Amino acid sequence: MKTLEKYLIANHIQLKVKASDWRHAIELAASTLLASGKIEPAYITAMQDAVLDFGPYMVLAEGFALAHAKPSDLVHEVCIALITVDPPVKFGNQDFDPVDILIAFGAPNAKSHIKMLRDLAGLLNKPETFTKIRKAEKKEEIISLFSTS
Amino acid sequence: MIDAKGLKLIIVCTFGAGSSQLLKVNVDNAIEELGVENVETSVCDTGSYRGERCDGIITTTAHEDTVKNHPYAKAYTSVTGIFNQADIKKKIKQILMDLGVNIEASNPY
Repeated sequence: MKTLEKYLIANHIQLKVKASDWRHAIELAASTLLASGKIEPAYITAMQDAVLDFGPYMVLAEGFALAHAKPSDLVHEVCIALITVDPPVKFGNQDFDPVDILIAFGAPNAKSHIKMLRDLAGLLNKPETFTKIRKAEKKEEIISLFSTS
Repeated sequence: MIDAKGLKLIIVCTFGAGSSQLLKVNVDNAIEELGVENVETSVCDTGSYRGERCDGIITTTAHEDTVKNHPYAKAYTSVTGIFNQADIKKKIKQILMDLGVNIEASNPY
């Protein structure tokens, strides 16, 4: 099984949800990981604090942010969640705001998630990936996109 | 292939866990496409990168002001988008040339 397909399950996907701001967007994305028992509530705060403490560097491409915090025992196992937000929210990043695609991930240690991120890089290197995620109305479209990577 | 003689490049982000890992994929691709071998790349966080022995440092523009005056690094570069492969190739070509790797000027990147 491909790594991304294994981790990005339907329960961890939410499409075209409303978020009041970037903090809320992170909380929404991570809420599914919390519900699955993959993370502790404190990991959500850690992800929000990372933006406050280090700036909106996690906005990595036009309209796309990768939320995460330092690998730690606040994460029980490698996990990833995706949301699209409508309307988009601002993170304060000059180059790539506003954000409508947010991927949140967690890792219990520095090594466990590397393969998953490599696969993610391969997928996000294709510009059409962002267009397809943006347009998706059903979770199945996301799952099929991530399983062919 | 062009031999970079074991040059060491570190890719720095806040935790050395997310964006630097994604960027490393495209840095490694760029090095290969430039026809250069024998370059070691690794990721590092902004808290500990100063202790890391390296020849050059790659980061994103968000971190370019943080990552400087490293005790060992002789060259620096920063990329704007970590999925912008054309930009990354251009920047990697430049930093490798800054570090003395002889990449021909005719290389399209």
